[in-house]
Amino acid sequence: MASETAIIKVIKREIKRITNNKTIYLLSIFLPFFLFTFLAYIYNEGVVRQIPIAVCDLDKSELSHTYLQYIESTGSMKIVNYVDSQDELMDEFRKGNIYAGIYIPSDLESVIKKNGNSTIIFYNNTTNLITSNIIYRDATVISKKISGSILLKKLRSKGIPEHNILNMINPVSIEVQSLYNPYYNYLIYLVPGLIPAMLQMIIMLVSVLLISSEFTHKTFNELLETANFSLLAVFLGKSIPHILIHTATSLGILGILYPAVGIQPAGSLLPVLLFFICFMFASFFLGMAISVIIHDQLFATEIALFINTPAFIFSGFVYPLWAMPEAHTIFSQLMPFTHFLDGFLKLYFMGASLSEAGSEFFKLGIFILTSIVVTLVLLFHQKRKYLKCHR
Amino acid sequence: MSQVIKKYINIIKREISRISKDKNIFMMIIIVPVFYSFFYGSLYYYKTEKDVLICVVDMDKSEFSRNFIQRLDANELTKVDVVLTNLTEAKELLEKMEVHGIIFIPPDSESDLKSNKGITIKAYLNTTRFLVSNDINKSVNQTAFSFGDDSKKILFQKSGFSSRASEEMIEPLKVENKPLFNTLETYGDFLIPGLIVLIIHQTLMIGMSESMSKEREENTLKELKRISGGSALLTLAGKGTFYFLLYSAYSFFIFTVIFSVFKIRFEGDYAALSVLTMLLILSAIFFCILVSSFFKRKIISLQVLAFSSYPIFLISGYIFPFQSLPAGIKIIATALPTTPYFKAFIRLTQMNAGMPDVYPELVHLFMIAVVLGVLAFARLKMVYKPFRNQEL
Repeated sequence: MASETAIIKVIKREIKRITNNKTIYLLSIFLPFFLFTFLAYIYNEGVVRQIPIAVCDLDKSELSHTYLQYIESTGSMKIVNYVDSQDELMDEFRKGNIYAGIYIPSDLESVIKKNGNSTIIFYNNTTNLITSNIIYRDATVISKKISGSILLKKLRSKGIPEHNILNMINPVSIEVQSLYNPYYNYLIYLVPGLIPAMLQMIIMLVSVLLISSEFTHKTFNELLETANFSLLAVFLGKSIPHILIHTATSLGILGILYPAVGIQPAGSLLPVLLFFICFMFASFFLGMAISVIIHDQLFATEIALFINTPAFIFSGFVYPLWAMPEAHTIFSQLMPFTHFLDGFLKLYFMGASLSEAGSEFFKLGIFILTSIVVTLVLLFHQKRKYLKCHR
Repeated sequence: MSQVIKKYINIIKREISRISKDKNIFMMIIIVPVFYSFFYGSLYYYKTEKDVLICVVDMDKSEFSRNFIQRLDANELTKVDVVLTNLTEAKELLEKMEVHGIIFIPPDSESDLKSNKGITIKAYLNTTRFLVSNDINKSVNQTAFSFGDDSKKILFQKSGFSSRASEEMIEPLKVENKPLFNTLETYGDFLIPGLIVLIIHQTLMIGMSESMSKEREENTLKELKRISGGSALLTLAGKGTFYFLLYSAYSFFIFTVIFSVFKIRFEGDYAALSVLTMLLILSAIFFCILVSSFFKRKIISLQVLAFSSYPIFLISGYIFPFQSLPAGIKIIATALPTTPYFKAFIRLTQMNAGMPDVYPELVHLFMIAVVLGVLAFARLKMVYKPFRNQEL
């Protein structure tokens, strides 16, 4: 009963600290709301459209005109300029006006009419892989389509039966089924990864202050006295208010923000929520462990930043882990976000069951357990130090 | 005049002394930029991802399907991890993320092809990660096209066309994709230059902001005003000079050493890049003095600016094209110095662009620097105001 009272006393003290400390409540409550809404808004358009391109059409024929009409009909590209030479095309690249340039040779139509083949050159600015991949994909599809219709006409004129012609034009076709994000929507792709990465950063930046700020402001003794020297009371009393705030944030992300911007779960939300909370715990207790190890709150914040700033890039979300050097892969394993990511994608987008994300749960569990043990051991050490001094 | 110079030098000396005594600022502006440049840069050391694991469900088990699998495996983008005869099993592997795509070869593919029937190979892609799903898509299409071309040639020859005519008929209209500037299309060459600039920009912002907010935290603004003789302009210049010189040196180090270490080609104009980079550094300094003068503690500078890195980078147009951003975001991005900088930077370093090509961005950045400079100056005057009537 005494310990219960001590826990409540520490909780009350912590709530008071949160409400009196502008930084903590701004970081914990207001920042997630504004930052996450902003991040979701960046990718509001979802797909990349109207990529500016220029055309050097030396043929000016019906065929080249049809080809360019097809290009614009994809919606992914927009012809913003017509030039007269390849040099002018290169100038457009250097001025930053275009991402791609189409060069159509002067004999395009005449060669094809003579049963030959002709080549359109697609200059693609690959310093941006997002736009260059889209341009490459659509340019290939269109050329295959036009080649197919040219062949169709030729083979018909030879009197080959219609059903044979279609098989001859495209003997091996590929039907792509893009699972989980069929329209390659960047909102659905990036935002569910970006927001938890930022959430981890927020949680850790707040939790590294929990104990370190007590040392910095020389209030650790007061904390021990409030907790009646019960480590459990210190641990739970300091954690519970923050965990409640972060749980509310997690619920807000999964229950309000994601559905509001159109990011829908493939299966039940309950396992996702459990996993999300597990990730939140892992981030929180890791931060708390750092705050017991490092007593200078500014230095503790810097360490949290050092761990969190690279979290998104090192997680393997955008660039796969297996393509990274080994040292970086090892570093990536030290961040809860890396382990969270695979589990979250499985549960949220692939509708997997809890057991299918078992290994990720286990890894996050190790973070939680290790961090709690480190925190309690170091708190015990600090308590002994205090008691020794006051004996 | 000599008095003014003396005061200016005194502020610079004071700033250097404060940095050397403050381990947080020292670490942020001296150690972190160099360490992070190598640490982040080396992440993409191999520059490109190869051998994305895929699973093939071979329901045909013919010579055709074996050849198809061999070509898929030989493509540098993909590696056939496992060949199965059961789609359900393959989907389980996909759901466990042990493979990133499934290629399904239907039964009777070979016999259909032999009897002039077209076949459809299905590719199931896990698009929760775009880079790898794009790789599989590219690889499977390249393989299918190569088989399609072989089959077409045989069919045309069977229909009475000569070997040469058949060859030409395979694809009357070809598209030759010529990658420019990042010719190997590597992720490393795409991302490393931008990331390193971001690291330099953010460490400058955090370090400088910590220094400015420390003046308030330790109540040393009065002392600063005394040393500067009450001049906001001298304070601005004196506090900014060391950071300007240090970060100019870092920039030189990046464009020479780091680019060379990570084999990033430099195809541009050093003079234009230097002017552009100096304008970015100036803008960042003015922005920091302006913003951090509102913070009462160093830790707040650190916390606030830490969260600006990702949004700044994401809205700069460096990754996601600027024209695809929502109108509201475009307005915010246009007001940030990093947006014109990144737009010109990639062209100056990778695309052979020169000063005239990036003139609009230089003007844009110059205007931002001037506006921020005026605002920082006005803010410093305001900060000095309470000390006006006190003895300095």
